[in-house]
Amino acid sequence: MNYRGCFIDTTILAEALLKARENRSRARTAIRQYKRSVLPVYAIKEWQYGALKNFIWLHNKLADTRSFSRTIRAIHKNFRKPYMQGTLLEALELGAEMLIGSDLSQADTPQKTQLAMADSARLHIRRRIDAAWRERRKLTTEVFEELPCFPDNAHSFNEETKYIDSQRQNCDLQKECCLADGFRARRGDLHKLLTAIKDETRLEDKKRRTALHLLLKRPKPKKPFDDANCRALGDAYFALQCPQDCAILTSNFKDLERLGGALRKEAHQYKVP
Amino acid sequence: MPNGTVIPIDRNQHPSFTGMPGSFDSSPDHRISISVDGNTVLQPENAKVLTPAELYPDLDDRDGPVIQALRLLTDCLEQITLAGQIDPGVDFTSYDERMMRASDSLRKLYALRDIGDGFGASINALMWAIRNKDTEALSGRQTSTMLEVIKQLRNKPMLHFDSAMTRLDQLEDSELNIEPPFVELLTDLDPGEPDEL
Repeated sequence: MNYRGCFIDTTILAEALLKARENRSRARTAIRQYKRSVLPVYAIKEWQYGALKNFIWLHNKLADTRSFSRTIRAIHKNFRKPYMQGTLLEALELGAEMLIGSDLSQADTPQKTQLAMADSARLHIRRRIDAAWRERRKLTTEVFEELPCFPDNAHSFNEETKYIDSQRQNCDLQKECCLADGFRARRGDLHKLLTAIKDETRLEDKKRRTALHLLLKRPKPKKPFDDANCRALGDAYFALQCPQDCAILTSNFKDLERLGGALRKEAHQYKVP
Repeated sequence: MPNGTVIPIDRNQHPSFTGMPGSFDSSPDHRISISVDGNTVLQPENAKVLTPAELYPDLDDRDGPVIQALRLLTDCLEQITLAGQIDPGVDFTSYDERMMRASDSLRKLYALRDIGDGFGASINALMWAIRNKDTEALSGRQTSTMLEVIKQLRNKPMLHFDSAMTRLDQLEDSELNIEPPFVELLTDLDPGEPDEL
């Protein structure tokens, strides 16, 4: 089938909003190759609670430690980055080259160099966060399926602490997730998705199976389909909601090929440089 | 109307104007009109605009950071203007000499980043824009954009971060790479979930 449109998943959204300029531009070009491009608000939600949250953490960590190398160590500890030691040396070399060399640059001691670099990175990351927020709904020809329980609130900057504050990290659920009833009516599709991932042992697949089973339960269980279940659906959401004339555009090709394939929907691979 | 000397000023922020009778207004070129009891006086069009150094000739590095910043921005503006008048294909060393001096001013300005995040972000971007050009000269468009951004910063050094964003967009639109090269080493946070946040 010759697809006219693409359905943007969270990996592409993060690439087009938060990566370095060249990568952002490349991802946006890939989106524009389709006549129709559809961004589900679910991807904004996943992006906000994932990649954007990580960027805000990084910004705040730089403001907190006021040190480039201490921030690197925090990343190393929290994000399992074994190559970070080499990265640190490379980065310090780059920063020192630029920021030392003037009596008044005030980067004349290792500590001050650390601070100068941390501030340089923080200022840039703050700009990237703000720009990403501003542009999040402007990348595609359509924004699809507003989620009434997802607040999509902007972050704010605290001038005193230099921290970016995220307003909240959860949906405003009434009784349960606004997507639940619509998905319950699609029992056949839910069964197909469960079959597609039945042998998978990763934690994310186990959580996805739990969420799918919860939607299939009859009678409707007392335990509501909550925010955690909604997030656990993850790639299954994109397979379920991708319009028929669209392909799912993703850098997470393997998972979406399997889940999309179960519902006769195609995934197009975006290769991250 | 006699010629005079005009100091660029934002009437809304200047304490001297608060509580005074009449109304004040400024045109986009910073000329000020003053109205009292229906009589309006507009500063002459050909009035000289003072530089910070001319305005405060006796001040030195013990001065406040904003005054220092204004002087350094003027220096930086001058060096990039002079560099823009040199064809680097014909005389690269003279061109580069000016750009090195501009970079030196930017490094000193970066030390004054506590003026505010809007100021800091702008200087950070200008500094890395020049550094990332490496040995390549700025194009005419890039020089004009940098000069425009520096001029705007000199007129309003204490700008809000959101206002700085617009200027940074202008720099990027002229194909300048304003990103510190070490940032990408930090932001590759995607693979795997954080263990504890």
